[in-house]
Amino acid sequence: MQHLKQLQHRFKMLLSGQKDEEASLQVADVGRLFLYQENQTKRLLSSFSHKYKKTHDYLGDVLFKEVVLKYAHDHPMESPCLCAYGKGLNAYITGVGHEIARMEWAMNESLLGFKTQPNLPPVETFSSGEKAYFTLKAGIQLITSYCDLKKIWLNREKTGVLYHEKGVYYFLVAAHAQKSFFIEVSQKDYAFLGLLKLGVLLSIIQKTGKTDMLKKFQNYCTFLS
Amino acid sequence: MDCRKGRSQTLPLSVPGISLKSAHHQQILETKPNVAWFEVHPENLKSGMAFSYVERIRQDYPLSFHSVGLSLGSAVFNEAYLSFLKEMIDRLSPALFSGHVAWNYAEDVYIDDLLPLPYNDESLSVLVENIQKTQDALQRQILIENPSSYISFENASYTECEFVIKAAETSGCGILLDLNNVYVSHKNGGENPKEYIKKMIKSGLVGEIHLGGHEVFKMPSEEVVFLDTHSTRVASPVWDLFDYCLSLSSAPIPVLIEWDQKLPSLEMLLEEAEIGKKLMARYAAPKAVTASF
Repeated sequence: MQHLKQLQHRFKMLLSGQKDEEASLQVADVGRLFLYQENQTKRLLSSFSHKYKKTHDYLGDVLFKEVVLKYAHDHPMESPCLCAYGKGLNAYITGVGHEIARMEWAMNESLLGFKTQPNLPPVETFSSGEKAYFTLKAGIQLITSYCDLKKIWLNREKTGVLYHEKGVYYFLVAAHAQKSFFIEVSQKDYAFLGLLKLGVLLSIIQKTGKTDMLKKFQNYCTFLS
Repeated sequence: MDCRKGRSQTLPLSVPGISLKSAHHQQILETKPNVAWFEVHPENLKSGMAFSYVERIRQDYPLSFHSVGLSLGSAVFNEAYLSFLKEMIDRLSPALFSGHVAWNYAEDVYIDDLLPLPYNDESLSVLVENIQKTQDALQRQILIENPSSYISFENASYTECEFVIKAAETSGCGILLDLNNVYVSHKNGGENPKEYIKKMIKSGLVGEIHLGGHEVFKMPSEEVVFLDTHSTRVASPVWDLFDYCLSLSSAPIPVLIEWDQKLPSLEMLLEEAEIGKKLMARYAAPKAVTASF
């Protein structure tokens, strides 16, 4: 097993860019090792472009490739499940691109975390139970951004017309019918949804006098079910 | 050993199944197309959304699992990953489970590719041990797929065909015979494809056949290499090999049309399955036969 272990180590090093490992692999067709390196990069870019389509559009091919390769170098895949690989790419991007990537990963996480479950019951059915509580459906994300990401998304077809208005924007990210999406919510709703995400007891919501929010929550339930 | 025994589910044997891809999930649920069965990569089920769709599709169609992350050829095997695969098997009950004669895991890191093994005793021993661990953990017999080859190691002591058969015989698993891989490897300097297929069928270990597309790539050195991309229709020479394979088979074997990249419409995949069905009909004596797994 020792030889195979060494060979796999060398192959792995070769794929990470250490070309001097070629000779040590003892293959008859050294020139074709290029195919594995090429394939590795193509697959990586294809996978990231799928998850970070908007980020790719925003950065362009050259910069996107540079960012993805740097990310992959620093964060090798620890699981064979490619759909869950790519968290934190935004750390390699600055400005608006950082915010776009952050939103895209939240959208991906809403797909990853999605769980089939019965529709949440209407608010009224909870009203008598002291220990009744609400939680948002699995996979739902809440994020804030200083970018008006909604405008950026709506203008996705218009190259070079990306709006960037400084401010704080609040978003709820969810998945439905295989698609992930986000909606802008008010600061007040965002705070309330944050409580729901934590699984806040109904009695506490009532005590805090936020019962007016329940109706709104019911609307979110309908929207997200 | 007949690798198609020991399971309680059935796959239709007169029509090829097709790859199940997320882009087609909604259409399949809405239109309920006439598909014999679907192949799923369990690695994609890590996504809760994908799982929820596959779970619903499973209600109407049989499934097979084809793992691309098992890495049966790894010198250090990731046994922990088997628990995820077992969970998915328990929840979706696929009729078949297969992996590759390849590796993509080393030193706690995965590589998104299927990398080659030197065909020698050391690799054989590693592969057999990992197959047995997998079969023990999953509590079922698995199939191993012959790889597509672009390179050959200088210290090989078996041909690929010998290596795959020996691994299956020693470990007690079956073989998934990928005819496109046989063709691609042959074009890249590998074995005679008909001899390869004859030996495989003769072994009695083939429990599934894969048909897929490939592309021709020109290297910077101008050398032309055939790549197993699963991104095109099944090529004419591969259909010919399928015809040859069917002519040798004494019993029907599940067949799958594989397509992973540059995904076409569901209709095109069904067209490919229809071509396969017509070929299979020529050799199927009782056409409605189904096997017990």
